[in-house]
Amino acid sequence: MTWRAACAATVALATYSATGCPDTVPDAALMSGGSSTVIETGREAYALPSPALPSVLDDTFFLGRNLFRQVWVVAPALDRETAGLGPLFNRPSCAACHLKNGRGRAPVGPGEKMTTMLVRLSLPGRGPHGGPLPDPVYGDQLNDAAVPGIPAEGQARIRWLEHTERLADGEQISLRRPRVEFSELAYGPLGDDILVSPRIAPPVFGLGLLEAVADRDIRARADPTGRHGRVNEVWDPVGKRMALGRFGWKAGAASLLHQSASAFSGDLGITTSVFPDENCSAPQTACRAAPSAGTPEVEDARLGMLVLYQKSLAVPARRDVANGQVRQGERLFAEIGCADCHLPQMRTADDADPPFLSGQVIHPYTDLLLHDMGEGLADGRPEFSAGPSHWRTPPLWGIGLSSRVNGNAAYLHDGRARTLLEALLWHGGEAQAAAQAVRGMSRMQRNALLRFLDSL
Amino acid sequence: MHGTVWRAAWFAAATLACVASLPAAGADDRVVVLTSYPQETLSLFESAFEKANPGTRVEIVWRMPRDAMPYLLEPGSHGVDVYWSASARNYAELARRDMLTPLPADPALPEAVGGFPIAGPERLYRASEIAGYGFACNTARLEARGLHCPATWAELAAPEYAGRVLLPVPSRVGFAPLMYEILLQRMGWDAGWALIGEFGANAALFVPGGAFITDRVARGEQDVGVTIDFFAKSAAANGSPLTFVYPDIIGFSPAHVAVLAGAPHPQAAQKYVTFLLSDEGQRILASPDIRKLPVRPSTFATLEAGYFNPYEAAATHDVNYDLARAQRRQALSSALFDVLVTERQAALRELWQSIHRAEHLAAERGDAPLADAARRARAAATWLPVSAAESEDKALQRDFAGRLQAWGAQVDEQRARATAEITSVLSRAAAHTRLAAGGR
Repeated sequence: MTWRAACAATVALATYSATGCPDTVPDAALMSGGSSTVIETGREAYALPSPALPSVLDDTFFLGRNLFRQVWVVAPALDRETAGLGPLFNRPSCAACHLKNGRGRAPVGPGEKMTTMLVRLSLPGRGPHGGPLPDPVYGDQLNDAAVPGIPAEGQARIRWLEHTERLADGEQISLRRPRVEFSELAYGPLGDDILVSPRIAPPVFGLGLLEAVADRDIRARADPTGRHGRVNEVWDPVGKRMALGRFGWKAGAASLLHQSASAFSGDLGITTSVFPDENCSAPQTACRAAPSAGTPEVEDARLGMLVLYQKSLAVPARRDVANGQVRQGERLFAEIGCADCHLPQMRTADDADPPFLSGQVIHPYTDLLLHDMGEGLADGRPEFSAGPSHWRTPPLWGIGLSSRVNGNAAYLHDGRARTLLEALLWHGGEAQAAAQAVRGMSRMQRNALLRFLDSL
Repeated sequence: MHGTVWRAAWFAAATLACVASLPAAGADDRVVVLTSYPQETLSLFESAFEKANPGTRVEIVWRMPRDAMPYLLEPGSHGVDVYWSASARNYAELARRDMLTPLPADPALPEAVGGFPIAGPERLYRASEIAGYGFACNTARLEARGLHCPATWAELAAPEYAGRVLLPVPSRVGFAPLMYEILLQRMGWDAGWALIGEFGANAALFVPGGAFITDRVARGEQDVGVTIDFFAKSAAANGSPLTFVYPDIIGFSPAHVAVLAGAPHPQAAQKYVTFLLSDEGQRILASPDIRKLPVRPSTFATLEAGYFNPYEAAATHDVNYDLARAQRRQALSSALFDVLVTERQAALRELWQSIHRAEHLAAERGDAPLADAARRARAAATWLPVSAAESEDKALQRDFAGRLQAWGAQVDEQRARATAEITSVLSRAAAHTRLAAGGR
């Protein structure tokens, strides 16, 4: 779709169209999501449908949005369509963690509970198909909530360990790393060897475009030695085969359908055809005996609506691309090696599903590969091909609007970084040289780099 | 090398994860709130309450009002402490069953807006916030058509708004029955239905199942959405090109809060309600994602200029209606809306267009017979199978389903007669016009 057609469609279709179509064709770099880009900088910047979404799918998109925002109900209930929450869960809706489709945040300290993040658990070793080995009682994530009458698994709190870094130009930056503390563990103590990975909710816009990138294009950028970018080979419960992982902080999910069904199961306790069993372990007898709202609780048609909704969420356009400071920052971003992993440009496959996402030049600033990010960021928890210090390069598109949309900013997998500069300084492993370059920059250069990130 | 990194990282993680012995939970360490509010509202209140009350956490149990009552009526009420919802009927029923415990006295919280009561008897429940009905307008699109956002309900029936208004169907949209009942009470049964039928014919009808009313108006599918204020105002606060107008006849719908008599965490429950009704809690209602109307008058002084104040509105407008009466009748009224409007909208639209054309011609020409015909057609178009007196009949309010088909047939008969007459009169008028034109 041309820019003109895409813009006209934005104005016609999008709920909020802040501006009309400008007279001049904008720089292609503005159009972060190709034809699935919206010109919107407000609080709904992550919540708009792709302008390329065919009108016949409008209702499906909005029904999917309703499901995403639905606060689910404990079974049994008269409202059977919304019943099925739990027995164990983290939050009662998708939107509870993905507030306004944006990123979650970490608590300020142990006095505040986790509301938009969760804690993954596993034991050393390999589980089924080479994935994480779940704890025999608590499974692969701590469910800190439960339906009435059933004990929640326990509470996890974050205590921050702070230290200060002094940069070459004398600027001092306070950095913090989380220490996870458990309490009220209702099903016995966790083992001494438990592996713990606190994770904030990632943004959910633009995911259809990332899914539309061909496997071969992602694999083509992987380092055959695995040392400088590797693919996560994960078990895909939908296709029942090993597949390229691309969603989640460690690229542990092969598709949006897999990711969504997994979140339904793990985060909300809602069964689907992909994960048909309630999320209760063998010793959790009350959980296993609790009533279910159906088999499955969310059938394929509605799961499909939820997936379509996420696939169709547009990416906000960049701002200020012609600004001198932004351009300087963009050059520095490439020069110090950030762009090696945060790949500025990709192209979606010509045969993508759904077709309106096909053949798009996009600017996600990710290569969708796993990279070793060093010990500072390591969670110690492997996930298929991802080692304990591997993380998937997170997309940076739309990141400059995070504060505006979510009212707070939290970066990296556990939300430890309160600013983008903090996030940069935590980079280690393969990105160690880039982080060192940032430490050595003048304040003007650093500001330019940050200004560039803010334009994304 | 890889193995070295793995071991080092595992060690780091193991030292960071600490199974600590934090204090065990106390009896009032949590409050269980049964509600039907959207996630964004719940998240804001949950987070603010827990920040203001360290050590007490909020647990949400979500149920729509119709599902909440059977849940609360089960023994122990599933451990629910606080019921917070927009369902006055449920609160009245819970109070009647002695299932609520009185809230603390607070002289700064009014018991009514104007003369409209917002608190239950003996402080068993009270309003936590208020919402009002009106029109969400896509002003830019209206102005492009040379129109303005309607200020009165009657304007919705004007021919220039034909197809531009989106109207909720009360049998399908939760907030709508009360809205129509307010019109019926304030205008009277016959006049109210006459106007509802007239603008119902002019409008597109909304039922849930995809985009919201505010989405559709913002996207220009229609230009005016009849809705409840906070839907439109929160959309506008998030960037949607909507404005909201409270029309000539306004009415409010309160949401309430109460503490269950058998609350397992009574102190935490009272703390929650106290927070909700405090200035701090009430200010949260003005958040862009909520935009409801506080009940604590002092809160308005702390909000942005122009934030709608229902107490001020009540000083200049009659906002009264009998909520209990509305609740008793709303099922019947909603079914009647379907008989009169939803199920026969195409024919009704045609009839009203003819009536408007006849009235226009009659006025233009001073044609008394045409005006008489238009009056008769109007009377037939607004004919009701249920009288005002019958609508108050409690037996009929409970049991009317078996009569809907017969009512529909009666309505069809009346309207068919009106359509035949007005069409015939208009044909004669058109022929007369042609003759007159030929004569010249």
